[in-house]
Amino acid sequence: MKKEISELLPFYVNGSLQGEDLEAVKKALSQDKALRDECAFLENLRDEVQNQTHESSPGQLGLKRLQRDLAKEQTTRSRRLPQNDNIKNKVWRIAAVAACIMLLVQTAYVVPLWQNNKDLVAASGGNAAYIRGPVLSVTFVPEAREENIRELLLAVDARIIDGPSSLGVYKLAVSKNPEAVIAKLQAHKNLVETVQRDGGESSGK
Amino acid sequence: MTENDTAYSLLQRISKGDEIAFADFYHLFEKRLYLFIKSKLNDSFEAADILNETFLEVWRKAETFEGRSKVSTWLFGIAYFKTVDRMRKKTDIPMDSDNFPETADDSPDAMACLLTAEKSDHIKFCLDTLKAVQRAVMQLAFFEDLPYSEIALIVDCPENTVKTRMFHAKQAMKRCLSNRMGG
Repeated sequence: MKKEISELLPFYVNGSLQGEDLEAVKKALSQDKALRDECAFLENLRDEVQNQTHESSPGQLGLKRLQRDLAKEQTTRSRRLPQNDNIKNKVWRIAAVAACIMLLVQTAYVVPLWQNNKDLVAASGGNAAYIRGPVLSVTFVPEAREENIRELLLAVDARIIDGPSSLGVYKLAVSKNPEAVIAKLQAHKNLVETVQRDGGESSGK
Repeated sequence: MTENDTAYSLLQRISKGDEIAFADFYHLFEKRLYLFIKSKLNDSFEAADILNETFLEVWRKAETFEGRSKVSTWLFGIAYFKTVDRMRKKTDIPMDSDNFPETADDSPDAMACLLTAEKSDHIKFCLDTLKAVQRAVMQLAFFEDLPYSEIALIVDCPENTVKTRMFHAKQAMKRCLSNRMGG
C-alpha cells in the first residue's frame, strides 16, 4: 500500500491527482511522517526542474531555421507535383507543335513528287509502264506450262501487258518487228494456240 | 480560452497552410518542448534538431489531428518518439529498460540532508544521470505538471509504467544525491 501511495506522490506534488487517488494520498500523508518528508523532497525536486528554464532554447533562431526548412520543403513539393506537370505538359505541347510543322512541310514536299510519277516504280518491277509499240493478243494451249511461256516470251522479247481475260487472252507488247514475233509464236504450236496483232499500239501505261 | 483551445485553433489554421499560426504555435510550445527533448538527450544540438523535426511534423500532419487528446499530448508524443528513435540510432542500449537498482537511502536523516543548501547543483547533476526514460517522465511530471494518464499517452506505455518509472527516478535521485552530499 505504501509503495502505491509513494508512486502517486509525484502527481500529488504536481497537482494533477484527482478523485480516489487524491483522497488516498491525503489520508496517507496525514498519518505518515516519512511520506511527508518524501513529499517535501519531491516538492524541492519539482522546483529544481522548474528552475531549469534558464537553459536557453533555440527560440527565434529555431523558428528561422524551421521557416527555412519549410520553404525548402514546399519548393521541393511544388517542383514534384503541379509545377513539374506543367513543365512536362509544356514540353509535350512544344514537341507536338514541332511534329505537326514537320509533317506539314514533308507533305508539301512529297505530294507534288507523287503527282510527277517519275520516280515511282511498281512493286512488280514496273517495266510495263514504259513499254511502247505493237500489241499482240495471244492465247496459250491449256497444257502450256508457265516456264515454257516465260522462255518463249523472253526469246521474242515480248512482255505481257494485260490479261488474262476471261477467255484466256493475253496482251503482249513487242518492241520490234511484230510480224517476225507473230511467226515465231505461231511456230510454237505446243504452247501458243492463237496469236494476232491488235489494231493499236501500246502507248505505255 | 484554455491553452489547449488556443493550440487546437492554431493547428486548424496550420492545416490550411497558415504560416503565422505556425509561428504562434512554435512560440507557444518551443521552450517546453526543447527542455523535454533535452531532458532525454542531454545534447543541445541534437535537441534543437529534434525540436525542428517535431515542428516540421506538426506542419505536415496538422490536418490529421482529430482532437482525441490534448494538443500538447500529441505534440510531446511526436517529440518523444523522434527522440527515442534518435537515441536508438546512437546506441544499442534498450530505451525502455526499467530494471534500475534501488539502493537509495530512505532514512529521515538522509532526506533532511538532501533538503539543505547546495542542493541545486547536485540536483541538476543527478537529474542528468537519470535514465532517459526516467528523465522524460520526470520532465513531463515536474515541468509540464501533467497527470500520469497523459504522460502514459505521450510515451505510449501503461499508466502503471509511468508511475513506476517516476518512482524509480525518484529513488535514483535520492541515491545520487546521497552519494554526492555524503562524499
